[in-house]
Amino acid sequence: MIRRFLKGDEQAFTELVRQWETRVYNIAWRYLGNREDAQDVVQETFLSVFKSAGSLRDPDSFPTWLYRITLNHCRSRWRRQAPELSLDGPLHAKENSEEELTLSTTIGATPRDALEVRDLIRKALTGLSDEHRTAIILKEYVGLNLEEVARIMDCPLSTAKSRLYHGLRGVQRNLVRMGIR
Amino acid sequence: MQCQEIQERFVELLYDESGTPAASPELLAHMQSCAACRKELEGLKGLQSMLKTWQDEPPLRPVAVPRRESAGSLMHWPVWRFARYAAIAVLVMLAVLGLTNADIRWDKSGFAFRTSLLPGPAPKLLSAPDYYTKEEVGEIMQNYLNYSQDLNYQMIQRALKYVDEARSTDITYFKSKLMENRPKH
Repeated sequence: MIRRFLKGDEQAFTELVRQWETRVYNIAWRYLGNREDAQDVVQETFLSVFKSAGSLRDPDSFPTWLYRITLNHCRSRWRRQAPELSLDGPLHAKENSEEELTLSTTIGATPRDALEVRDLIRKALTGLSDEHRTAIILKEYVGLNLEEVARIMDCPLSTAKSRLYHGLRGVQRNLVRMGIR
Repeated sequence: MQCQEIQERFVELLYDESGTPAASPELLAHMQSCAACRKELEGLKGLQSMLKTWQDEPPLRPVAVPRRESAGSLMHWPVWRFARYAAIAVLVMLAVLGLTNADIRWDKSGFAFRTSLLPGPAPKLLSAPDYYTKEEVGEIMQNYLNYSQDLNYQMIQRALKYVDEARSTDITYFKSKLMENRPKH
């Protein structure tokens, strides 16, 4: 399908979009912490893919190429928005208010359901630096191996491991600051 | 090995992947002997489980798939693109001229352009002679007639004078001849 797309088959591109849009959306959502922004990033990503298809030489490296484009768009949007990093309340007002829960700062409070856990993780992730957040998303959510993570982040394997470790520690620290043990 | 040094290598223990270096014997030995590092590692494993509870979900809306313009489309040609911009420029220029009440004239007498933006008298037409009024033309013609009449009169007077002089000369000549040929008594 990727080869057909690279040859100019627009139907193949449509199938490619349908196949990858969920993955791209979830990367963007976890990076930005906001569904609407993630949706915009998905649109921008596939527009970039459409325009710059000619720059992809090896069809087998399409996933790596796609993830890089996605993360670049995430970073651009993140820089433009400069989101609030307060861990005491909802990060983005655009999120469904019914799902947003004001966090208890009582030490020892435990999450009650999946939505609350997800919100906690979302806040903890957005409190990390770009490198640590990217490493965690690619490893824990996209499911890439460490070498692939290093390739996408364009760094040595040891650096990717270090970023992943410090990212996990960062999430742990942020959760503790939010009162979760 | 120091705990801090070990902890940075927890990733090797958290992710057992084929192709990556296996945890070294030193690392495994330290983990067996250090409760703090074991607790730290368990904490990270618990965190991994917590992270995995955030499930994927579908996008809010399907992505709008862009379409490529066909190569054979006329509007894709650079000439047509230029023509489009040129047409827009002409329309804008006509709109501006209309708004400024532009007055443009181009005939045998020359080219003239005037707008309400520029106050003052209308500019002179380029390369056009001065126009005379009807009265001026009449005056000019009368002057010319008078001049012609004067000229004719002078010519006639000169001619008459010439004739007169010639006659006088002839008369004088004839008189002189008559006196010569008069019989002597």
